[in-house]
Amino acid sequence: MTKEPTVRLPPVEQIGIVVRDVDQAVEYFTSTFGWGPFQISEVEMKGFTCGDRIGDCRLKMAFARSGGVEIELIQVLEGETPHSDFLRSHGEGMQHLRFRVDDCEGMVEALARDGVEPLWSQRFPGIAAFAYMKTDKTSGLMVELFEITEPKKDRE
Amino acid sequence: MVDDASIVLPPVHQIGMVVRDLQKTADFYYSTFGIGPFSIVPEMRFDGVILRGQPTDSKVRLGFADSGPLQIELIQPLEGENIYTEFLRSGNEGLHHLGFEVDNFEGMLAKFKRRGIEPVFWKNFGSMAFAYLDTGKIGGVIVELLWHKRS
Repeated sequence: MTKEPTVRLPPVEQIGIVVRDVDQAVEYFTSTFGWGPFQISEVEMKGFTCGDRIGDCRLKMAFARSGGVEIELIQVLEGETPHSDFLRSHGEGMQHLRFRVDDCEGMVEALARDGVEPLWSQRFPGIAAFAYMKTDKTSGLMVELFEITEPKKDRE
Repeated sequence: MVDDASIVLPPVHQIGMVVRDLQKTADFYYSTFGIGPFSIVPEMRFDGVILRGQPTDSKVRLGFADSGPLQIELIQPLEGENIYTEFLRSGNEGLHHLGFEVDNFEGMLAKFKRRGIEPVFWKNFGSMAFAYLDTGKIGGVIVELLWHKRS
């Protein structure tokens, strides 16, 4: 007998790629894959949860679309994140798949029952929340849950 | 300016993952994340596929599930040498390649070759063809070109 899935993720919306140098990767993916144009930005994140520590980082990111999916390039400029860890252990490459959810914490709680814990997460109150989920059980797949918070009045 | 050597891949069609235990992974992705259920091909022979210039015979297990417009492919190497065993041996498991369905397989291969990018694991079977390309030197993304003869 097959049990009902613990959660039902929607279709993949983003492929996250960790790179050493966003500018170099943008140039390469544009000329060699035909991806782009990319939107490039830098973000500073303060107070995220990573395992049992609270941390800060500065990331350089670039976004483009390939059909129905978004391509995200991520370069760590400062700080220690799962991306820096991935770069050390694996090198550059595809690091996560992102799925849009309505309730990030609710989903994290449900997945914890199956032994899948968040590795890196943060909530930006009233705006958005994310959680990177990966354990030994996920066969190397890092799942990013991403919520864009709807204004309360639109909610039941 | 677009010159005739410029490469424009079609939209991503497939996300390929290499795993150690396909059945366990497929069961887990479905029961926990609701990804799948996967259709599983228990054994597929890859005979005479060119691995870094040498023909090789290998056997793999494949699993397929749709995720919106994308296909998620799970691959478990069973026997012989291929790029999947290389990936697992280097200590990796998980996301491995992006697959693109192309109309002109040989033409696309030639465009990549003009940029110094060679196929590392490939075969043209006549009715279908695939080629994994050495595209990962910058950015780490392995491109797979996929072609199916139109009936």
